[in-house]
Amino acid sequence: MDETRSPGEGGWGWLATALTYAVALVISLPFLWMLKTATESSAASTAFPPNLLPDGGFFETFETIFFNSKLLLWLWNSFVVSAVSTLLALALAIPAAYALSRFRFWGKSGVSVAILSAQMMPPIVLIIPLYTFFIRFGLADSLWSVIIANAAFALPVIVWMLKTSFDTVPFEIDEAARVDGASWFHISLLIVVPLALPGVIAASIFAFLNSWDEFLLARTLLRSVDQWVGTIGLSSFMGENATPWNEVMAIALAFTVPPVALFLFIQKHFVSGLGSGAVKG
Amino acid sequence: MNRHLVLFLGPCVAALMAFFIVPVWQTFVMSVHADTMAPNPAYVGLANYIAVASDRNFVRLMTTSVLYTAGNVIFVWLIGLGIALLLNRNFVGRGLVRAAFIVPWATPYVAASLIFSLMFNYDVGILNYLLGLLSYGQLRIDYLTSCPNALISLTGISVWKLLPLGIVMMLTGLQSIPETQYEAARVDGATGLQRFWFVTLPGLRSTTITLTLLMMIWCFGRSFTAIYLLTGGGPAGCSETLVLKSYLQMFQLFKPATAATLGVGVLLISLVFAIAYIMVLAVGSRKNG
Repeated sequence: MDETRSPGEGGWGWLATALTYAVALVISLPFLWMLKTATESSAASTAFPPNLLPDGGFFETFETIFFNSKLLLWLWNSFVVSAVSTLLALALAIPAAYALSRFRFWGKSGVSVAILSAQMMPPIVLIIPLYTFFIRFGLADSLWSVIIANAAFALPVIVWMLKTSFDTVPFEIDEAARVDGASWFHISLLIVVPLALPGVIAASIFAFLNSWDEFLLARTLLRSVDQWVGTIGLSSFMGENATPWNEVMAIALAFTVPPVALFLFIQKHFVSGLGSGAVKG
Repeated sequence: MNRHLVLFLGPCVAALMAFFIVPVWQTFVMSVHADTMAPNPAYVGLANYIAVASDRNFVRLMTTSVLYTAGNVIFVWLIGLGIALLLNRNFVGRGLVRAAFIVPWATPYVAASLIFSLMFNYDVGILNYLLGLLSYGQLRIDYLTSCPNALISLTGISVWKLLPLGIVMMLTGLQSIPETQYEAARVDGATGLQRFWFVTLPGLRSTTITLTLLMMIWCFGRSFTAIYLLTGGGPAGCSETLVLKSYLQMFQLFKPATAATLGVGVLLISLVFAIAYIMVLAVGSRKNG
């Protein structure tokens, strides 16, 4: 048990707890409302006054969205884009983070500052020329364009996350392996990465979620319906009145569940990774 | 070690050059050339910058961007601190409540935009329904199609999305304040409110600076998805931010140089925040060791 009670709350603890639950409910309301609308019938989803509980149109709605819409294809595209761009980003970031964590070299602080500043780059500045670039190389309307760009966009943050977690592995371990004749590749991939595994997983999930959520570039590049990723498919229902709300929310729910599940899974690592990055600099 | 340095760091640095430095340079080059999609546009110097700054909507555009960013910073800080204070205690169901507070962060922005468009719906939305209950059917709000409301609603969505970040950072900040300071204050007879004012708030100084700068960078430079989807910058341009305008100029009006000029503007303003942020980090790391 950690002693983090705020001091002097006296007999008011129960009130603070009740307030906490109330605030949590308000913050969760949008998510709960999606859940509720997704599991009701289309008639109920536009009823006014709204029903506060779903009326059980669940199976019909999910049958429709999974078998009579492009949802599965879009989810698959999103998965492919996110997974491949994450692997690509890791392949570049792990060695770089290892070098930043272990090697001493001239210009190291310059590289660090450049990586930190790249994290702050407003995407719009990059997307205008990248759009022209992908069009010129015939990669427009191809998932590859989005894969490559997402991998690059994730790099600055995950290099930093990985470096922070490699820093926690004692350098003596590397030196001992070095004495035993192991190569730098061997040490970084087979010794340090497994020891820093929680950080590596957190960085991977960060990159994955970043791609999963990416909208701006995908919106400009992916034109044909069969190439759409989830964000684009989902956004096509905005302002379109033909699809009933329960189906739209069911599709939104199907697209929201994977990131929420991943987030809850890594909550602790992600939070501590962010914290250490901010403190250590 | 040198050969290894190149092998380890080289590919990543090359990718950063190709996808960050080169595009920024190209955006800059586009901004000083003629405003046409045709190949080889003529060099026009700062003409696009002058045109953008003397546009009659320029002041409104800047004001909207600033209000959106400031609203985010202020409310994420305030609500984040409030919730962090509530969470920084032991109570039954803490894990579940913490998970509930993380969910907005994980909800994809496009999904959040759709959810809010349903909740904000004038006729059948839950918010107007609740408002009607509270006001005996007298009050209904036009959340997205009237003028200050659209910007306020969009800021609200962004605050909802970023709140988890505020809560997490504020919790970390609260937990870094040594318990001895509270004890000393209690020995001196400080009331709860005085302890909050003289111990908690000063103890959150560096967290506040970091959070403010991070929020400025993110909200200002990424004020796009929900705005684009829910209002498109309207009505009458009153929720149009610099980033959104840049996008619309490029991809709907096909004016690449105006878009690039606005993009450079976004970059320069973000750069000021970024430099401040990196300086804060540098000072912090010097203090830590």
